[in-house]
Amino acid sequence: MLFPTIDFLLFFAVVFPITWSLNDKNTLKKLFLALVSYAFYACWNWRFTFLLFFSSTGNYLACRLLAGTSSPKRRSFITFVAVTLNLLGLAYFKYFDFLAAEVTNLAGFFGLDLDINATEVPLPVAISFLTFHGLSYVFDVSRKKVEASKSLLDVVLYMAFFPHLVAGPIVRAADFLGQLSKKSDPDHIDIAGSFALILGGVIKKVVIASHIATLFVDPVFVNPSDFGRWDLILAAYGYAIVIYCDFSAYTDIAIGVANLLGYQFPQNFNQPYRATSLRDFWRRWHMSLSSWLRDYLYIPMGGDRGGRWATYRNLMVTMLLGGLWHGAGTQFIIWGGLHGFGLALERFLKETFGFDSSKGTLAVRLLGWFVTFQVVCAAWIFFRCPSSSAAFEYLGLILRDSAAPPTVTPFVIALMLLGFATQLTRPERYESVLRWYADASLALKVAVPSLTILCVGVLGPRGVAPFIYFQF
Amino acid sequence: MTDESDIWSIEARLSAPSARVSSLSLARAKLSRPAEVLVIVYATMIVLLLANPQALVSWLADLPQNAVTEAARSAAEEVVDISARLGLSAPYEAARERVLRSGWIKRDRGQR
Repeated sequence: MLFPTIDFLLFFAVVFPITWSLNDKNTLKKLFLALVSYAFYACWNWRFTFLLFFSSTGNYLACRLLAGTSSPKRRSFITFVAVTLNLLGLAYFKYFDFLAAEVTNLAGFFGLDLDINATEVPLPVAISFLTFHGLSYVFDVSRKKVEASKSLLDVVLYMAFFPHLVAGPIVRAADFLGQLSKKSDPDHIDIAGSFALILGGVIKKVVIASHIATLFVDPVFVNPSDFGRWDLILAAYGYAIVIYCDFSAYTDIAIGVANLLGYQFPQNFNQPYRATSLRDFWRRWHMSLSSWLRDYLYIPMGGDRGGRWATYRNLMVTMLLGGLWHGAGTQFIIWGGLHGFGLALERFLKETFGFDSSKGTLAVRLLGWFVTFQVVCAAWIFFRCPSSSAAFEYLGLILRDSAAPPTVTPFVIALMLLGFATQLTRPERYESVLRWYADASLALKVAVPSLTILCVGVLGPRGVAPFIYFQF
Repeated sequence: MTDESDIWSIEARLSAPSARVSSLSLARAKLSRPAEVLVIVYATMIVLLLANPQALVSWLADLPQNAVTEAARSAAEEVVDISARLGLSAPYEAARERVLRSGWIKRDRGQR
């Protein structure tokens, strides 16, 4: 069930009033939300609801065991087992076939004939997000940042809550479990802000991302050799807009829907293509993932405490694993490696020459923005291509001198500019619109979403493609 | 009998209309936020149903056919008729037709 569909509108129209009517009976409300979240997940493949339940139960039991012991050795052991079990699930579903193919290839290279059967098990939707939520809970309890929940229902709902279930944002247990312990405050509903996020998300996904992808980016990436240099370059920029509008649309809608139901999620995007350095980029792009990687991977590895080269190594390892998290393929590892190398290089330049593109004069910051944007877009080529060899071929075709005229249409260019304009508008500009909507009459409050959705219907393609991050 | 000026100072009298507006706003605000959201969501659904009822018919056509979906489909087709008779769906259909004829967009071929 995708967000910008009639299915979801009807689903929400039923879930919303029941959720609030149960607000005074918090346990019943949570039970209801857990059940509808499982129903939401079952829309893709009902069998994987068992995986979701066992994962939640396993993490709940591990954290209860952690709460019951104060021995550091036992706590470390329990944490180790819980983390391993979480990662084993991810490894089996997401990486087994990839590793099997790579090992078989490597063995073949050395003349060995290995036959490792692929599992051919379909990848559960959002397996990576489930694992991140489970690990977040175990780590937070292990570090005593959050108390182990006594309620299995709370942990089940934390892991399965339908707005964040499929593609984030990654919500920390420490931030969410407290919200479940008491009834929601209806005054915390930000009607204007939530509707703006939801409607903006629908426009970004259905109008901007879908059209740029289907009209231009997908055909170019599927058959790059049919296109000239300018199309290849523009398609790389186009994909940067597509993935931003697609992914930020999902998390914006998730944040808006959760707020309407009485729960607060963290912000996940903050105009990432304004970034003047890669470090700045990762503070603005998929913020819940980058802070997760920082807190649970980079800092435990030593962060920047072990000296220069150890810091560069930690940055590299963190981003390589971040790349691998996105998908089982060398193209994702290279994508992460490029970001890791860029982050390490920025740090080296800052430490050696005192150069920081985020803090210099306007000219330095503009140069920093330009270089960062080019690096990010070049790295997206690896992210979009089906394999690393396809990505290298794509880059080779850009370098090849081709006289083929560009095929991109003015409509696609206009959409790309519109998508990029979302990066330039200062957030304060939205504030006055939000205030206007908050004070508007009920008739206007109905007119705005109605007209927006009708306009999206007029301008959008027939049908909605799945969100890109569903595959992760 | 108390003179009105005893109740309303000049400033107060000047601000009386806006006070009335704000009292109206308060009357509006008596609707709790969840109730307000509910009204917005359901009213929006009704507007969408009347302005573009064909979307519901197409959506129902994609569902597995059974007695329930058949009944829903015939009801949706009645809404299509009513909306067309009242001219409510005409603006959406005309705008959509215009966009399709412009050649800017084509049917979704899926994306990654």
